[in-house]
Amino acid sequence: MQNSESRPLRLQPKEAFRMNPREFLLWLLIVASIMLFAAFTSAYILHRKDGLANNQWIQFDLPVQFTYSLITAGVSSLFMLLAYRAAKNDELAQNRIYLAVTLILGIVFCLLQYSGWKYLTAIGLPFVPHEDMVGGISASFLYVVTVFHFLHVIGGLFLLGFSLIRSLRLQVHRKNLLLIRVTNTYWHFVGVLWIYLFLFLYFAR
Amino acid sequence: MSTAAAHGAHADAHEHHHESFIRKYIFSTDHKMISRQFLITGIVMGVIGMMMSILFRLQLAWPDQKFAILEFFLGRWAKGGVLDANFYMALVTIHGTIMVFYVLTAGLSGTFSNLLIPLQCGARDMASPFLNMLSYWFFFLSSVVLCWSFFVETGPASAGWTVYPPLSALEKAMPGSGFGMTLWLVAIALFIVSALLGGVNYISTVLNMRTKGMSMNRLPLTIWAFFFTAILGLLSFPVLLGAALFLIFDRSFGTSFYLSDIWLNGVGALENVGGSPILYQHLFWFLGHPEVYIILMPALGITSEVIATNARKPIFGYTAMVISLMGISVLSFIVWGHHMFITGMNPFLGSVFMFLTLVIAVPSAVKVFNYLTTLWRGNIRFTPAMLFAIGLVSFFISGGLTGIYLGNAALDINLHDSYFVVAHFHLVMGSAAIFGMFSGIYHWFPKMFGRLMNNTLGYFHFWLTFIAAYLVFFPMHFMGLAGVPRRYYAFSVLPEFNVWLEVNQLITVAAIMAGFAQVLFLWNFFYSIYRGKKSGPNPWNSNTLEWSTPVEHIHGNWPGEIPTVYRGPYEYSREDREEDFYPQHIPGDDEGHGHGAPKTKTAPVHTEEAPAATGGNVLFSALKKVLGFSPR
Repeated sequence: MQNSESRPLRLQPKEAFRMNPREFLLWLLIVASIMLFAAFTSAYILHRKDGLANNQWIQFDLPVQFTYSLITAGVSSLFMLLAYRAAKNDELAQNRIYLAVTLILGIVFCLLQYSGWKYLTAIGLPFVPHEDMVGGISASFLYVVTVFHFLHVIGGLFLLGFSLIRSLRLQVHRKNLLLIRVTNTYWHFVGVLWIYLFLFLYFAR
Repeated sequence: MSTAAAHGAHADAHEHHHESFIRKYIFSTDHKMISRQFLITGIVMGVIGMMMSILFRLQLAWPDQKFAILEFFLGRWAKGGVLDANFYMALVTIHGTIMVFYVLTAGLSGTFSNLLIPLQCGARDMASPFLNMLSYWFFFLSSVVLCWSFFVETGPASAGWTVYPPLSALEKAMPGSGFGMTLWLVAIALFIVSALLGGVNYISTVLNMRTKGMSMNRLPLTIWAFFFTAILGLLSFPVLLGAALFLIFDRSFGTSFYLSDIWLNGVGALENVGGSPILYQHLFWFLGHPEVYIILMPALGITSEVIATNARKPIFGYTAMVISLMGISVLSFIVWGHHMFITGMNPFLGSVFMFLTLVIAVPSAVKVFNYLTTLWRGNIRFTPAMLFAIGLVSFFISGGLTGIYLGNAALDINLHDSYFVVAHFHLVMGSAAIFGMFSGIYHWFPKMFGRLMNNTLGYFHFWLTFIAAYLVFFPMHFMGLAGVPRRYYAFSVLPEFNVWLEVNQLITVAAIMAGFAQVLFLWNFFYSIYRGKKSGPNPWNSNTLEWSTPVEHIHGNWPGEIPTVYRGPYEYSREDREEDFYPQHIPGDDEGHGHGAPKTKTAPVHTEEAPAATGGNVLFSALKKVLGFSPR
């Protein structure tokens, strides 16, 4: 018969914690967001199919501002990644700079989105279609999808701002990474989400 | 610092932590208090919902009768003692909304997930106690907003609990489409936020905060049920949120997501073009069908626990029960179309939905089979909790069978929106889930309040409710088969349906009897909180971890270290034990059984079977051994 020392693994229970529970909460909230956008885009596909068949769907090009915001999102994600790596390596000065750049790029992204909506309204594609406008629902969908993404970005800006403040107080470093890891994950999520939405709206006009 | 020391320090901090009244009872972050808050709010909403049902049942049974008392209480909604037709529609709508969302979703899942997930998993609290508190307060706010709609000029929402457009999308469609409808949407949006905050907490706690030795295959079936329920909510409630947002935009901003051109007498009544009310149905039922299981699965989990504990037997087919819950969860997402067979759906698509719907009968039948085989030759203790659990099984069978009829497109097209549907879902979803909830309340009352409920009152409560529920819902099958449509205010001018008047009267009398039975329950519940017989720490001789906590609630649950788990939760009536239970946290002298120490892997390990006597038990034991159905 084996004694207990010969099988330490069996008597040493495994720690149940696999991921910080609060960080895991973020992943779950991301799943909820994905489902919300899945609902929006599924509804879009259904409407588009019927709309095209009945000549009740206006097809239009996406504003160029949305293309710029796509690039901005990509670059800001890159800086976020650099900020996270800097925090992991205890490079606090770089961490602050990269976080600040990410925050600025996030604000630029929001301004570009706003500019894109203004452009759409100016060319006669408002959120609520005019009385004599058949097929304006395609624009309504675009506004819903992009505005809700915009609200997610605003949430990300708050997280970034909070991380930056903590970083300025020297509270973001190798041994205290939870906040910046959460911010990093969330910021990449909103970036990837915008890439998906842009491609979706581009190809399913 | 070692884990043990950290736990100990944490527990000490909790024990000596003094909180103000507001922090302890109002804005509490303790999962046990939040569970009680969900329960009490759920009960209050349940009483409101039930009173509404009795009101509209009075109308259906005695449509021409004047009840002066109604005018006294309802004022202009019951002028001359007769219920107003619009208010009748509002009652039906809000009754459905309250029962589905506020009682059987938040009241049931909110209460027991909050109470049991940390206690049965072995955690100090939820992953985020703050979000947990927010979850309750969003729910409370949502309840207030919904009830507020009774006090607005045009009355509450009246488009049915599914609030299909265009009735819900056009503010002027009917009185109940006005501000009351807006409040309904706001209430549901708040409710969804509450459900999501709660759900993410439940999932994160189950996956990340289990105590030592609590591998997934040692989790009680309650936790599995709450876990899958939370996943369903996480994936489906955002879709309902999307549907509600489109509806709000149509109502308040003038978009056309659900509204298209409507013509009245050759004149265009709407300026909207291109919208589709069917889109709403797709989005709604993508939540709506999983919602059935969001309601039912916690009740099934509770039943598993109560039946095994009170039959003093291991649950039959633990693994099969978990796989069934998983199967039901997956299937529930791909069957929403069976609510829409009459929308002009492509017949091929209808066939696919029909097939998938009928497949749900398989995991459901597995669960029923396992409940019955767990009961088979058990040393059954007929506590009120056990009776309610057995009652659930009864409703699950009788209501589930009619689901097979309704899942068939050819039959559903005839039975759609008839009383047959009302009978079906009230049995399988309403009665079954509420019986599961009652079972849970009776069983875990000692854990929630430290006292026992009165058994005699519990038995009266059970039998009156059980008989009344069948008297109410069983005759409705025949009404539905005769084509009697639901949601009609009165059948006085429809002779072919008016022949059911006496049946309607019987149903109403039974509904009042059910209401009376709930008065017994309420008395028992509130009286026992203060005057009930004091409970010991483990009054049912149960195995699960929550019964290892002190009777007095402490923040952090265990005064010292969190217990380690050594075995599965259903080790009842083992031959090698003097007692007929073997708590999960008691260190084992069962090395011979191969599971004495906390496990490091989730793979099942062979153990001795629970005592199997004769006949059928031998057969079932052999089956269990062959199929490996046993928790470890």
